[in-house]
Amino acid sequence: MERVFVTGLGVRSAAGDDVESLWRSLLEGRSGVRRFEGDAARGLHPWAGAPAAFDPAEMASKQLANRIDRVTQLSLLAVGQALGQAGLPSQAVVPARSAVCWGTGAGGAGSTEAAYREFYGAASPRIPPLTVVMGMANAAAGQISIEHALRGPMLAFSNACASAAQAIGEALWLLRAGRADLAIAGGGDAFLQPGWVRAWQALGVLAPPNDDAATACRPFDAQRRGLVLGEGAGALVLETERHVRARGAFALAELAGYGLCADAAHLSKPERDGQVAAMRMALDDAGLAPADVGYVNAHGTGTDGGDPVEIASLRAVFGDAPPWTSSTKALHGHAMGASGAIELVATVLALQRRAIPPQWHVRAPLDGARLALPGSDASWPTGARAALSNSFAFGGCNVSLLARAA
Amino acid sequence: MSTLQALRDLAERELDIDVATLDPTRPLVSLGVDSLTLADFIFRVEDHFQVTIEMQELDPQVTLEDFAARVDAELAKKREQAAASSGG
Repeated sequence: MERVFVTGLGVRSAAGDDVESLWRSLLEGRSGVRRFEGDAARGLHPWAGAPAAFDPAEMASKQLANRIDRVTQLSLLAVGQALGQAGLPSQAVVPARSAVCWGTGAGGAGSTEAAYREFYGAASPRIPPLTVVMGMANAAAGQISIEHALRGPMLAFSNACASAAQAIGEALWLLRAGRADLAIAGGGDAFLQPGWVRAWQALGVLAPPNDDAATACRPFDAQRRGLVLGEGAGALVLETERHVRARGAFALAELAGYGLCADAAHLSKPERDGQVAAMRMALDDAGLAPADVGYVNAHGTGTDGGDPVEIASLRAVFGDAPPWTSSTKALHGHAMGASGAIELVATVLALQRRAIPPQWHVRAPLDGARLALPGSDASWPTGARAALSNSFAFGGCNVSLLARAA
Repeated sequence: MSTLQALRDLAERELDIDVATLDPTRPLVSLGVDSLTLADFIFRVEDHFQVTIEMQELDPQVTLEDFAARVDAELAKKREQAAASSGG
């Protein structure tokens, strides 16, 4: 079975507009989370959110900017970065052997919400004619294929917080199976819209902004208050070993393992057994032992119920000496369908640079986790050659991705 | 400002078309405006002039001049309706 390598990374997030700025934020603890005042008349309480910086003028043309949703705009920008780092031209050299696998939780949420707001709120509603094609869940996947002449398989995934991670994992198998030589994989989400935020508030899992919104997300802290909604996109260029060698490309890491399973238990309550199974599958897939893993980028949303379950899962897989662990959501928020890709970018960087992204915003750590707290002696363990990224989604879908040093 | 000039401005702003070289008698499709962009542009024209233009009624080879004539006709219709309803 052919090995698959990561040759390009791209990211747009609240904690960084590109790979280098994200990495600096992770090391320095620069949070992209800020306070929004809400809308008292509509029951939208003040909230903490992590918006990605973005200017529509960054799009190649106004025509293009006008007809795609923010999620597609952010996705295209991340993909452009990844292709640039991989040293690939914008247009696929062999289109029929070039794939796109893209995840999103909410699709073009801004376009859909704007249309609904108009429909229900205006006396004579006028619905923009591109609402359907801007809002559909595969809009970003389609636009990425169009912009880069990717005429091989096009797959769109929507599995809540695991969407991008699953897109990357399935791209791995698509390449292993010989259905393409190269895949653009990742995901995007952009749903920081009043209606969407209010729905999340109704679910009761959001951290309040309080006095210092920047530190509102505190994964694995005893006093954590909930998750912080974010947005953005993460992209990876994946290539088969043969393709990498043929063009003399530089591999950043090997995408070596993918674990995927369903809890089949509850739509929102995490289950230890499913998480353990996903992590073990990723390790087995890569042929690696737990001791080979030097860092885990945890799902770690900062919710009351979620974090302790993940700690228990990590202990079950790694025993009493789990690898250094952090959830970078503390800084870029929970970018939902994009999070698996943004966090795998962080994971690959950690592996490649032999550095552990600290766990920010923790004052009193939960028992059991081996958190890389700022100022601690968390250095890359000698002999470790892999890093793991977890994405455990609503719906009960568990994904673990394992990157091995190239 | 004439309707055609207003449409030229709108095309420059929203379609990235250089108005200096824009021939209003050429089909928009030949200027790289595809069906989705055209639908979006019609929506913006409707917003700008406060008129309704049904896309289905437009020739696929619609030019900016055609657009201007269509907008003028809709504006005239609106004026007539306003005059009738005000008893004028």
